[in-house]
Amino acid sequence: MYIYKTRGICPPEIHFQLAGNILTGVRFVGGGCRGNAQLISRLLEGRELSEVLPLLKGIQCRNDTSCPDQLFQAIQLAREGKLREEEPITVYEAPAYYQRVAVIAEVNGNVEALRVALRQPVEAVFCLGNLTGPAGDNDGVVEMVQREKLVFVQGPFDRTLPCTKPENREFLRRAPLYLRFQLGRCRVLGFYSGFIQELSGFSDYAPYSLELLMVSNLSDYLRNESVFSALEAMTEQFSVDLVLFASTNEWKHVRLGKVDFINVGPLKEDGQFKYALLEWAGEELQVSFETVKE
Amino acid sequence: MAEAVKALPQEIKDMIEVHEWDMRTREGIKRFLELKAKSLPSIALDNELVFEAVIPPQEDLIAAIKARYAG
Repeated sequence: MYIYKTRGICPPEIHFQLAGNILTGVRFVGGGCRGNAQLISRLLEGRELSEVLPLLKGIQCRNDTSCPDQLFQAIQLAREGKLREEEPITVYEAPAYYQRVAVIAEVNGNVEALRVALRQPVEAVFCLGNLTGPAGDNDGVVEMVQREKLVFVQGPFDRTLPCTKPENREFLRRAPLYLRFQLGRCRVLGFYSGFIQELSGFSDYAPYSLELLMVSNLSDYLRNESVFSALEAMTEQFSVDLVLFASTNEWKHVRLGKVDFINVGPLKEDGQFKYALLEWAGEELQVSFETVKE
Repeated sequence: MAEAVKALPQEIKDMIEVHEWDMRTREGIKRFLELKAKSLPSIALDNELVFEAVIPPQEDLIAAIKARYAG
């Protein structure tokens, strides 16, 4: 994906992809006329550059340029190799609807702990990252994850603490950064932490960046209660109803406005196994932190 | 909030320089925390929070600006 910082127009960024000479995924983000921008994106989707570029070039709106003209300039820079293609911030969208799931985090290479988690009476287990750890059996965990088809997102350890086997390293490298699934009528988003914003493909205006920044940068993972009023106001703009995250080794559930925030702690803690049980029952979300003794 | 500032009389606008921070961005959040703000929307004058969680009536905003910068 390319991220172009605009000049002289309302949207601060334009995002797009090039597959050879085919333009896809054009998004004008962060401001401007949303309706018009979406129409332009749809009209340009999958079209050849030879067809598109003459349409975009030189259109004037304000400051001697326009959204189409800025897109023209961005594509030219990309073709000349002067605009870097960024690492995509990947999202896994679970195709199924769920009623009862377990959410874990910080497996840290503990095969036995993961085995316990996978035995729980739920429809699916999701992991919010750090399958691997500094002193764990990382290859063992990754191989179990592949066998059991566990859905997980990357944590920082998964990017920096490689497995010994190259195929396992590659498996971790290709894992998504965000998880999306549906629990009853509840739209759920999961991620490990704010480390995603340090990746080159991160944009403040990309899908789910708002939710991530509100959790990590504004509320310090719900530890700064003085900003809860502002956080609640910002939830009006969220695209999901439930935000799951890890990273602090804490267990917490807070509801602000219409959004639930759940901090998931480590899978193994004080000799016990812990997970968050999320259930859609009686037309509402039920959350509990479950403990399984060794 | 920005609309309240844009709607100020020109003589008042001439007394100030306006910056608007977008809370959806890292820069906006950083500024919000620097100001030790707690609620939205907020207005600060010279790095000091003057209005929080409210869009002030225009006369209150003008009075606050004049108290700092007039004469």
